[in-house]
Amino acid sequence: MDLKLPTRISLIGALQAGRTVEVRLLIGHAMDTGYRNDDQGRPVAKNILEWLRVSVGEVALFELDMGIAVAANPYLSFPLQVPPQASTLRVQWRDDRGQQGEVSKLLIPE
Amino acid sequence: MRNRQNPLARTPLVAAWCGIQNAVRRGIASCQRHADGRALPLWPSLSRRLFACGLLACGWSLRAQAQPSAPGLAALGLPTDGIQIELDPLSDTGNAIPLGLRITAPAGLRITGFEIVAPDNPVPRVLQLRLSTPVPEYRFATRIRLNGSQAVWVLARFSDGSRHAASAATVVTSSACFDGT
Repeated sequence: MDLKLPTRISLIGALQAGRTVEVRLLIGHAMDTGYRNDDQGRPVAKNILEWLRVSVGEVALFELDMGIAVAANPYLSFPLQVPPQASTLRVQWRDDRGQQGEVSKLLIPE
Repeated sequence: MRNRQNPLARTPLVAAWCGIQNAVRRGIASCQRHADGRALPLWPSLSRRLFACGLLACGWSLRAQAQPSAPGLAALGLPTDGIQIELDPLSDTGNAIPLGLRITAPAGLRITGFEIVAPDNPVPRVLQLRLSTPVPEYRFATRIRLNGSQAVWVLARFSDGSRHAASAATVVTSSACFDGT
């Protein structure tokens, strides 16, 4: 039940405690809508990331429910207030087949 | 994605048309039955049926509003202030359209979450975000798929339960719901 996905997490702005930086999160996932056919004309089954949670340490920032109208390789940009001490930015996801996965990035204030 | 018409959208028209046809057929049938010169019940029958059709159509319209449809969202009449949507007026492809938004809560309130709705998509609800800690201002950006040219709506929820909604229109030159096979 482990869903590993390629991700890229960028932090835009100086990582100073208390400051708000922009987090840019890119997750490699096809987000198949279930309406598409492959080259042989067979329908491609729906397979999307339908739930995502971003948290810092143990504190959740937000939960996101996604539909089929989120583009392939979901890109999300959101603000993050840099915590005073080193902590972990954690992104958890679940697809519509119940598979879960997560990725984390260490936040070390300057 | 295959291009699909929302069946609800046409239902009042279809219902009205079926009703008219039915009424006319029944009217003609009763004309034939009462060919001995008695009062023809065509018009009372027709008006009764049209009234029923009207009721039916209204019922369907109300039901359609329960879904996040474009007329339904506009009819909510929610305030639009505090929501800025960054959406290019022309999108080359419907498969990945950059969408940015900035929500500012009214004085004394905080944002608890928001929802992005594309009413003309096969599944109108694009995404829904719930903030764990409500904030007075929030910025967010993502990339979305659109079936065709339409107004994309953002509904923001605030800490007192109130909602604001704003929309931005874009022209999509090639739909994300196009199946080349």
